[in-house]
Amino acid sequence: MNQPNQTEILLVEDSQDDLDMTLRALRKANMANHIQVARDGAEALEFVFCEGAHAARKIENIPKLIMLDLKLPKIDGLEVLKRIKGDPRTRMIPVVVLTSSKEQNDVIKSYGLGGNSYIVKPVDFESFAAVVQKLGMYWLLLNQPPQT
Amino acid sequence: MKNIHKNGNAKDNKSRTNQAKTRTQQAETRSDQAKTRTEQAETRTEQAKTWTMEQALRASELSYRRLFEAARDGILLLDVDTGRITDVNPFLVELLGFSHDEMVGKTVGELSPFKDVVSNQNMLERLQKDGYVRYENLPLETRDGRKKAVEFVSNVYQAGDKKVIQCNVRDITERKQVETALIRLAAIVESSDDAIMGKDLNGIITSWNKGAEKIFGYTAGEIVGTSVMRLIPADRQQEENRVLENIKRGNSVAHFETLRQAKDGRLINVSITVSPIKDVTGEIIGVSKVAHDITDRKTAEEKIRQLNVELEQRVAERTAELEVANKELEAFSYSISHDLRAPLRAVNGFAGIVLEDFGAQLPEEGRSHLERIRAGALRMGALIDDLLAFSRLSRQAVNRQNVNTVKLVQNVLDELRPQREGRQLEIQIGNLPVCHGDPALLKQIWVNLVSNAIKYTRGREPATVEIGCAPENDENVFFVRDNGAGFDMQYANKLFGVFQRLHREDQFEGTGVGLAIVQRIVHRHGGRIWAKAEVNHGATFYFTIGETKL
Repeated sequence: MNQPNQTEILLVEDSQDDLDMTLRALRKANMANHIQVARDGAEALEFVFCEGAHAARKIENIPKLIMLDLKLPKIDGLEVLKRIKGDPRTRMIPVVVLTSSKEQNDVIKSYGLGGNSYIVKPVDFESFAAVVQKLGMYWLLLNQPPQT
Repeated sequence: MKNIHKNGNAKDNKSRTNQAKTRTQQAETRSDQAKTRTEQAETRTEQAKTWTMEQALRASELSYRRLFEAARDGILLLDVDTGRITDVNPFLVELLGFSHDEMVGKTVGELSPFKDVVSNQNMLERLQKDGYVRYENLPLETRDGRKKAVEFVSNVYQAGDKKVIQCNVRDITERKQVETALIRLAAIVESSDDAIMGKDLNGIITSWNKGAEKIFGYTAGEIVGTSVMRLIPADRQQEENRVLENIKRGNSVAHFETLRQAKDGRLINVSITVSPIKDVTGEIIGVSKVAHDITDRKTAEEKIRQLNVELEQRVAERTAELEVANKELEAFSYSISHDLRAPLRAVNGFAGIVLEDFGAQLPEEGRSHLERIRAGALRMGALIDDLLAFSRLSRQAVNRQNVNTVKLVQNVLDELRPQREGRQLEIQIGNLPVCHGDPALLKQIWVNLVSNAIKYTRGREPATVEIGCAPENDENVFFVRDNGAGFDMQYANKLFGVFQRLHREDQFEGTGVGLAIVQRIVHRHGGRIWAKAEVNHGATFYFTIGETKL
């Protein structure tokens, strides 16, 4: 079912610390093989819409999951979410908002734009690792995406 | 009749002469008889004449008497020499309340109603000199104390061979009352500050009071008899015609506000009341108009309007400022929410990774220090969360609705079950009335106060928490009482400050934000909060939510 080198998770995260901890948690759960990292909103969109550095990629090869931080340089997470969910070619991609913010506004906007989940990153390291692993487990293994 | 035939057989000549003489005498005698008859007839005529005059006199007296008896004026007849009353008519008897007999024989001055007013002597002297005395308006009091006003007229006239005084007493009380009422009404109209004017159905002014003069500047002399249009600005003349038409048709005209022009050209704001003037048959013959000068009120209204505009502008400006401040505050909390927590996660996370990956190589002390680093980061995370919750309170709208306090408190106790786990805790719930506030915010109050009570009774056996409401004046005062650690009242002022704590962290954990949040919620509802406590003898927290008791 998986083609070689096909991206399973797009991880959009500007913080090196959070990125390292997230990757470590995924690695420990053996889910770190096909991960694409984007360090800001613009990079994320380039990848999703096969532009710039990712022009050679085919848009039909959608990732199984996008983990999206909200506070991002250049283009913020909500805008990224909006563009992905606003395009018929990409709106099927599950997007989990994974952020530090507990602001109700962010939660409401994210769901309003079609976000599939909203997860607050816990300060506690163990809880954080557990959250990342459960997310990967659910969307990559349990969830049944539509056939493309 | 006389016997004239005496001697029939006397001497011839002598006898003839005597006969002639006798005839002459007889003739004379006849003539005398005729004369006597004439005289007798004359006497009879005289007698008849006298009889007729007497009849007429009697008739006249009778009708005079009738007038006297039936007159609707009081009449007194006095003896001209003594001034004593000789007769009184029934009307005066009725008017004064004294009987006929009580008055006859007395002088006018001796009658109590006239006593102080008419000096008998004075009146008599004037009557004897002028034959006439008149008092136009004489106040008098009747026998039973009623006040009357009378017109009193006395005349002397000749009645046969003697002079008589006749006094006519006319009751003018009602007329005087009407006059007084009219004078009073006229005075009210005249002294009114409002302009009161009358006009006929053609709009010609017929009356004009001082108030009208003051407001419009025209004197009555200048304006009465001229058209009311002089007072009406050119662009409003139709208004006057409409009013007149309505009045003529018998329609009422509602009180209205308009502009009028004074003599000096100034425009005056007036409030006008128009009413029809009707004659005794009910026909409309004119219009009365009361105009009240409302220039001051209009000026005040205009000023209020301007102040309102200014106030609204200021409110708008202030609101805009507040919105900016709020936006900044939002951005600030957003930033705290995102940016302050990320490094904490790194501190906690990498300390955790070191422990996980290299823990075995570290001495016990080193591992303990890393644990403290992790704990410190967690605590700071909790502080940030509470601080954000606190700052969010100022931005959150208060949506008041009726809240079932009993249910609310029960929910709170259910939610706090984990905290009560393994504790000997007696919770008493008293009477809790429905209150009117924001349900989510009210719940936060109860959560914080009750969880404090549970926390600070730790170690008490038995621990008791009492929840209730004590109505005070017009307010419901809710309270949460515990028998826990309490505090020293001298620090009570610090209780509700953010990050203020009265206990050490290792005694009772906490961030020092809970009561600050409670106070802010109470204040946002317009209520009050206070506490009473004693060290080691528990604490009671009271609050109201700014509503009048139902």
